[in-house]
Amino acid sequence: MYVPLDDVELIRRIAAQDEQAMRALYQQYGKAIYSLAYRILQNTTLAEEVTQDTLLKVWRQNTQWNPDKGSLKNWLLAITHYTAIDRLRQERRQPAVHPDSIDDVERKTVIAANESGWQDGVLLRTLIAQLPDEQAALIELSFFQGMSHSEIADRTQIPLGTVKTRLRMGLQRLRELWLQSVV
Amino acid sequence: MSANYRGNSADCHSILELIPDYAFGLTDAAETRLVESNLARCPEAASQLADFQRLQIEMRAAVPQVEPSAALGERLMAAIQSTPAVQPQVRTASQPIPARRWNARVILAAAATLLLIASNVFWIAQAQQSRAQQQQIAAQLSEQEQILALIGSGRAQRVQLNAVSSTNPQAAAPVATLMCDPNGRLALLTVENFPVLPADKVYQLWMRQGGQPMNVGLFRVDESGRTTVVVTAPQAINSFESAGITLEPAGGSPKPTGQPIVRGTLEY
Repeated sequence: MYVPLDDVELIRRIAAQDEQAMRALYQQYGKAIYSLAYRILQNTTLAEEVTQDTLLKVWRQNTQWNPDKGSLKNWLLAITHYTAIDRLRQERRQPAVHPDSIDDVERKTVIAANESGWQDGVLLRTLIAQLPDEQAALIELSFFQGMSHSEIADRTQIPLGTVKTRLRMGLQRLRELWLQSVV
Repeated sequence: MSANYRGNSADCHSILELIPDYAFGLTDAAETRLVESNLARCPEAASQLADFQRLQIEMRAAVPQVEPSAALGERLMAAIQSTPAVQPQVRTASQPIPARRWNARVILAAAATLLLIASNVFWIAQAQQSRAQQQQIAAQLSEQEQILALIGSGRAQRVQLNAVSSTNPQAAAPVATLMCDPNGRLALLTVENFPVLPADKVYQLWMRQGGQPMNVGLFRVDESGRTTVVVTAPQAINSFESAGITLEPAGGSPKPTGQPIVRGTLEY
């Protein structure tokens, strides 16, 4: 039976260049990392590359986990998030390289913001359903597509001021709903 | 930006408005600086930021779980075998330290160096003072980092210390807030509406344990009656029953010498 290693011990061994510890890290968190990368990139090839890039950052010790600031999983997912958004932004400048291309993903994302994606999480699905569609779509573009206010305004053809107000209201509402559900 | 922003100073309501954007990386450089320079004195904004950070963690973890291809793990292992970690550079036995040659030029240079050092004792003292200041700043930054980590961790608890009595009913009542991890010793103290003090007075924060007050720290307020400071309790904060702030002579007192200006029970 596979027994997960303690996270602190795992990272200590990786810092000592223990390849088996790296394999264990992948076994414990590879699926969660890949799932988030795939959620953002919607492309298996790119998601695998981002998963590998994320874990290589840990191996090379380009960045170091501080257990006092949160769990290893959350830290890995934060690195994954930013790595995937960076990759997504690179791909936007070089579109249509991959079969299920980023252009296609973005088109689907705007349409499907209230019917798929991160709302598949049990708790968040119920919360997002309570948000107006236009607020949910903007949260999607911001958080999972890494778009700035002005990029969202360009994409959606909504005035910049409206984007800012609507997104801020959506985030605040989501926070309130989430707090009510977890407290 | 709102007209409430002046330089890097803003009222807490304005900071609160920016928190969703800041948490999701949507603020511009000026707004980011504004939030970061005011966050410590706006407990509600700090608390909301912590909420948004925890919400983001949930959002990342709640995505549909998808199995990667079976080959990904092997590709990763192949990649790490060709990608060593960055190791600190060390001198090996095959790279011996070059032997020094004591020729006249070196001796003259050494003498000049000694002379220079001897004639610059004042500047050395200045440099030592500067290093001491740097160490103090580093310690303060470390405390601030710990507080920010605490706020971001979701473990932070907020305790409000309210005015005991008001000597001036026309003025806003003084209020203080402690943001802390009850299991730890560090806390972020924020005070508002405190009277500005003459030079020979200071405010002193106390925490009571078994009815006995223990000194936690001294502080003064700015011209608007506010300040935010990191304080360190002598023991874990959850070992104390209550906290209060008194007015004391400059340098502080071993025991409170007057009634508290604000006080509150340390309940979470």
